[in-house]
Amino acid sequence: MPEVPDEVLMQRYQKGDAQAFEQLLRRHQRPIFHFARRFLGHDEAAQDALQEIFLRVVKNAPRYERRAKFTTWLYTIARNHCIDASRKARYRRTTSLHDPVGGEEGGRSLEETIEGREPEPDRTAHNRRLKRAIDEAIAALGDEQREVFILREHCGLAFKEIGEITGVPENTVKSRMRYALEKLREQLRAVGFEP
Amino acid sequence: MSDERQKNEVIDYLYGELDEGRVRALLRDAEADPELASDLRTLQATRVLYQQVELPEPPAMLSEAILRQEKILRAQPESFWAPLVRLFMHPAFGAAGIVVVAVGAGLVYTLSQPPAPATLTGAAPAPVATVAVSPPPPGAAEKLVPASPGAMGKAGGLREVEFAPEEARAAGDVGQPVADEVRQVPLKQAQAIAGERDLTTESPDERADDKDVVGGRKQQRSALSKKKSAPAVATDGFEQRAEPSAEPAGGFARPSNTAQPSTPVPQDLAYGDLATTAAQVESKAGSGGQLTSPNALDQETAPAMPKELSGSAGNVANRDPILFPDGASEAGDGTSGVEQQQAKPRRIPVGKGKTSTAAGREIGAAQAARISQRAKDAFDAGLVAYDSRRYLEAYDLFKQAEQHDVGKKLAPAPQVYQARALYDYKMWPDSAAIMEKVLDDFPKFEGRDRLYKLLEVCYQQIKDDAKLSSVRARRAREADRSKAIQAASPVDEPANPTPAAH
Repeated sequence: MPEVPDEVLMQRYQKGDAQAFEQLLRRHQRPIFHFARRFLGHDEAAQDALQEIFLRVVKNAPRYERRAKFTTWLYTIARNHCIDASRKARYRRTTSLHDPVGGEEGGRSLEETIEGREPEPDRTAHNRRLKRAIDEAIAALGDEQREVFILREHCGLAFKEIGEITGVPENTVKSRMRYALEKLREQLRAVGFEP
Repeated sequence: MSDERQKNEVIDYLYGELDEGRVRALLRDAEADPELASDLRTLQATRVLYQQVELPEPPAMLSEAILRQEKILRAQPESFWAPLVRLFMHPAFGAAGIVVVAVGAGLVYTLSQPPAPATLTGAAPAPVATVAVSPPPPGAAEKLVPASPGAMGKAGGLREVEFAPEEARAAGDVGQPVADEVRQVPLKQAQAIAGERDLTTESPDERADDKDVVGGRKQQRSALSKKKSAPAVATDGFEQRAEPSAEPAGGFARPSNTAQPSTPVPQDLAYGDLATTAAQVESKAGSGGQLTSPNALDQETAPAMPKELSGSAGNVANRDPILFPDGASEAGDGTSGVEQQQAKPRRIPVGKGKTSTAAGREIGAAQAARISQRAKDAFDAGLVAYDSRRYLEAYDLFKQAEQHDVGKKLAPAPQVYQARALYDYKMWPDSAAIMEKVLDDFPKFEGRDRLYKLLEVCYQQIKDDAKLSSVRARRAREADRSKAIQAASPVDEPANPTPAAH
């Protein structure tokens, strides 16, 4: 059975079908969460963002018009929210889980001091190092490159659609994507992960 | 790598957006160009490496929470203004608006143009500035009326025509010129003739006489500004509080933009029914212990509280004996029972018709009840948002609750929760500022002790040692004072406070 398009579901939701919203949520919550997670840098902020984004969808549902592709509309909301949240976060003084404990450079991070439940085989250790390297590399990207990279890698949007969301030409999107990939490659190389 | 086009093609190739023909061409190019081949390989490998790391899944409870909130939002009746707002936001409406503005601007421009020599024909009324000095020569059909330069700058020469005195109108016969000579007079003089005044050229003193003309609005404004600047003296519990201030009641900038607390809270924050509030906060938050330790009133820490209110007999009368078992605060400030009765703030007489407000207008009891309900709804929604850790939204909702809380029945719960929301959002300076205001403005707030603790943690987070020690000193002072009052109170004091006589 073919999947019902997002736009149809949204129209049903506009007419009061709550199931349609639930379907849309189930379909998009994962990529939206990952988008927010990568954009904002940590899980807690991403969870807040996920809620906020879908509540904005609810509030703005009457204004949605079928002419627009649902994902374009949804990710525009998500992007705007994440930009706002990341601006606000810059004013917040927080202790990141990645910050070295006691302010020592190269020391263990707060995240690492929290005990895990599972034993830590080599593979997990490797993944954790890689995860951290990637987190840092993504965080080091400029906002413009990062959003393009995440929208493509995690949300699977076409470059054209990313261009519509970010309001730049498709070629600019591709240039930013290329820059992001190159930067990521350099950063990974610098910490010993040879792509 | 030859050019920009090829670079874009590499990206398209990596993400599967290149058609087959172009893919073949690119791979052919890569065979010939080792740099391109290396580029393709390393970028592809970077992607693979990136994809090895899996991101966590969103917690299952999160989607349940979203669906729950969606239900709440859907259940809320649509506001009266929502369809209008939607209409105004529609692009077609915007386009129509632009057309209307353009047409309007065109009309205004056309009318404000200096008149091409105006002709007096037919029964057109004579211009006000035109005074006939000699009878018209026979046979003259029309006469040009040049606009006075002084008048041009203001309303154009045509304006003079509009203010023709009746005599001049009567003098003008159909088809005949009014006069063969015209005397141009300044617009002001012309307006004086027509009984109109030029307010733009009058001195402020001259205009000052117009206060009565402008009417109550001016007086009202001045009264309001006085009220703003003067410390609030709550002679009428409702009148002081009926209209929520247009400014944010907390006096803080929206938390998104600043980490610094701004202007202080207006002093007319009402000291509402704490018993009700406490009970509500307890029941809503379910934290059991939010508002536990009743403290005695400390007048030193409540400099802004008017004496009438600091007695708060009304509050004593309405207190919940469970929350106030010892009745310690009944006479904690030393005021007599009579003073306390006099100080009891008046309540909105629900169901008794109209109630006056500070601004002099009247609102009905039903409206007051509606506003009250709105405050409760906002507060409830704020708690939902807070529980869902959407702190900024919660902050906004608590702020709304504070603003709609006409009778201050919820106070200081909305303020406390604003502080908590900002605290949890790690906006410590703003949170601390709100907590300080609550401590200042609600000296009988039962949760003071907890609030002090939170405030201390806040200042520790901000690393503001001076503030921290100041708060600690104040807390110690308050504790000492509380002990002293308790020691001075009779041991066999009745558990329930005596209700204030009405």
